[in-house]
Amino acid sequence: MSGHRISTPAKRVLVASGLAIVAAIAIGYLVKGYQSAAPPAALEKLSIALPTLPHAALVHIAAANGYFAQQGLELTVVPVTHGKAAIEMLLQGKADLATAAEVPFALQVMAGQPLAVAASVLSSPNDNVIVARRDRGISTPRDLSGKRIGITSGTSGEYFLWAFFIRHKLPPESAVLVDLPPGQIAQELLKGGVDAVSTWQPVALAAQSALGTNAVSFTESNAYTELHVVIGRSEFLKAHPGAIKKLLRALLKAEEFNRSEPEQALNLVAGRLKIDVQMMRPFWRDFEFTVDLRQSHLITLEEEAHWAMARGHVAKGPVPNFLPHLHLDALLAVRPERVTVAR
Amino acid sequence: MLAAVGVIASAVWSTYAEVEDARRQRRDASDLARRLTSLKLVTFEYALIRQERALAQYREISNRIDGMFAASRFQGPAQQEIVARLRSGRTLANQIFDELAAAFQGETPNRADLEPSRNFEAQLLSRLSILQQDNLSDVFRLTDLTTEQSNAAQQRLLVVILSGLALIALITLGVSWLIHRDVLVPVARLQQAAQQVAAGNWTTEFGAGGSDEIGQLTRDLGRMTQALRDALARVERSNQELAALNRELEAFSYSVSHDLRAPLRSMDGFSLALLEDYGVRLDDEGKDFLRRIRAASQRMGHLIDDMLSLSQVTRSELRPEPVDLGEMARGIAEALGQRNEGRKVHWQIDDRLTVRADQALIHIAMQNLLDNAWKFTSRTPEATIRVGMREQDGRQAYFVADNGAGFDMAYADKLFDAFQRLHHAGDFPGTGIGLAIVQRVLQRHDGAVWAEAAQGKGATFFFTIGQPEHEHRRPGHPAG
Ligand SMILES: Nc1ncnc2c1ncn2[C@@H]1O[C@H](COP(=O)(O)OP(=O)(O)O)[C@@H](O)[C@H]1O
Ligand SMILES: [Mg+2]
Repeated sequence: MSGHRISTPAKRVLVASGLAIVAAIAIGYLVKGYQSAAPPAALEKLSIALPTLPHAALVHIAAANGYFAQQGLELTVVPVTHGKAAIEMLLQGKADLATAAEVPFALQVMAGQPLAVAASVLSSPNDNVIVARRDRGISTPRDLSGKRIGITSGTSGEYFLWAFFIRHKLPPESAVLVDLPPGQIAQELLKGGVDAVSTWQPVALAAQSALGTNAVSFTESNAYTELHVVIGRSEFLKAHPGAIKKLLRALLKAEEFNRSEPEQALNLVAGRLKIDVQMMRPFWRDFEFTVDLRQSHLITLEEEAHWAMARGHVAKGPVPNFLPHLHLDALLAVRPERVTVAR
Repeated sequence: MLAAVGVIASAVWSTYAEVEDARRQRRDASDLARRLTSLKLVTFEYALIRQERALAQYREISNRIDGMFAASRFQGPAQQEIVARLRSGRTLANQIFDELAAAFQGETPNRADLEPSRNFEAQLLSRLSILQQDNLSDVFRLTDLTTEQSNAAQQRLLVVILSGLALIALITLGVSWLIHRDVLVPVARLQQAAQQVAAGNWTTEFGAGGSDEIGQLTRDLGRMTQALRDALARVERSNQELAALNRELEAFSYSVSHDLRAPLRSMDGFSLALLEDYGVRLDDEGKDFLRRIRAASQRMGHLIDDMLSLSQVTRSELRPEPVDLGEMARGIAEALGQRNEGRKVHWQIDDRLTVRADQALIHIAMQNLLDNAWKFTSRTPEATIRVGMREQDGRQAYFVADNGAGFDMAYADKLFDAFQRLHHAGDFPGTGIGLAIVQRVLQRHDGAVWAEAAQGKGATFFFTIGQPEHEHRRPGHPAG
């Protein structure tokens, strides 16, 4: 009897609760859309030939902060002095991967090595420096013409010198190049075995401070932007997509760490490489640590191919196609927007 | 509720503003991307064909891009980082383009300088390519970011709207619950209690009720029911007293009637014996006295019979069943004719006079009415008695009519009281109880009885049986 009177509001209550439930489900669904799944934790092993240089800072940070382990990757680091040496380790089969500047990579590719870049981890327009002795009559770029200049053959230091000469409309052949290992560059300049050196940081800074007031330095941001890349054998990269993705995720995490905690990252890298923080600070500012693969990398590599042929590093011939030597798949899978190579 | 709607509306509005802003940023980013693509195009046209037109176009597009950078407001740290990189990239690219333009427009170098300047130009073009390519990648990334931002804002808008709906639903739920608890439930309880009371359950409690109007109403109804309950209890009590009194009275009159009967019979019997056995020794006057004694005692016997009949009518239980009044009347008429063979009466009795009544009681009533009609037409030469029914005020009124002595209508309502007679016992003998019995019978049938008559022109007695609108009602006890 009274049920009849209550039925209308009861219906309203029903409709309202129905609405509330629908809304709750919808909101829950939306919220769920924001959550991402955790990565699977199957342990994989990789070894990497790693230069004890700040250029490979992202790898050092990721290793120090345990990012590789977090991704389920057991990374064995084989330390080397510089990138060219790292690639040699890779080619000797002593490491699965290597990091190096893109110059030695381009040379190896032109020599026919089946290598590929998994990602670039750094770009810097001011890394390379020409340090010269004033007492050899050098005060302007033009004065470098005809001088003995120390370089490490087949490295970014040599390529920078070439680009620097072109930038200043000097014939590159006019310099006499002296091949020196990175560890002897500062010493040789101080000794006077060479009039100038072209090298990367922190070797350049060591040379500068060795010469003191006798030093004159040249940089040129509009001639060459150096890269630091993670390299592996093409076959290896294709055969281990899981491990490479884990590696890239860890590097991206290190990049994020460097972006949000720059000072901490600097101290961490300086401590690990046993370089004075204050010494590192000036060139560290110019380091742009970004994990990516860009269309412009192809232009840089092609430029270097021209240089390599002109310098006689490789026989003259057509500029090779570097595109197959960029391993895009892994980074596309992990962070597609970081691949700007035209596809 | 209104406040909630206001809050939701403002939340929706501000989120909508975010969506609009994100859309504007996305538009700006894709505009930039388009312009930068055009810029790259004219750069290569210029490098290839070295036309002044391409140079002019480069400068125009470049200026426009700078204007867009000045006007655009991109939000978010990632976006601002890209914008900062784009700005410096643009400055650098412009610088190198200027160098390239200067190199193209400069004098043709001599033989010795040809190689370096060609290299120089090639380097500039490469650098420019790299910069423009990176700028384009950056601006595409910016487009992606602003698209994501715009999508996120749209999704937020959806969430805000859905949350708003959920909030409204919850409030509605709450309000419904409150109404249910504070209004509907008490009203339903009140209604139930009222229905209980209406169904005769006077002991129903209404409860204390809340402090609001419904609570007040509940208490008032409770008080009203209490008052009714008290009054009813009083009525009940007096009814019971009355019933007890009635029973006493009836027992009394019954025993009195019985007790009176025996002496009356002896009076009559001995008077008869005296007349028969000692009649010869009595003179005429003595015989007359004895006859009078006999008549009086017989009359008293009738009186006692009638009184007993009246009390019986009052006491006996009612068992309604279909009764054909016409058939009943014919039976009574036949009996009357057999008892008084000398009389000639013209009977008109209708068919189909079926009523729902107690057979025994209605027979007593009909007997009395027909007795009267028979009696008061005894001096009428062409005596006619009619029994029938007529519709009156939408009800069925049954009647017994005669063309006998009739009476003066001025006394019409007195007739139905016991012992009230309008005629002399000498003219028409009787006790004056018959119509009282008739009235009592019809009252017990929820009916009524009334008369229409005129002196010397006969009388008609109407009666109804049952009251349609109160058919289910029954007196609670004999006195009722
Ligand atoms: N059919 C009738 N015609 C004329 N008068 C009547 C008729 N029926 C009743 N009355 C009047 O009503 C009185 C009461 O009637 P009733 O109670 O039957 O008593 P009774 O028949 O014993 O006289 C009658 O005495 C008579 O005066
Ligand atoms: Mg009578």
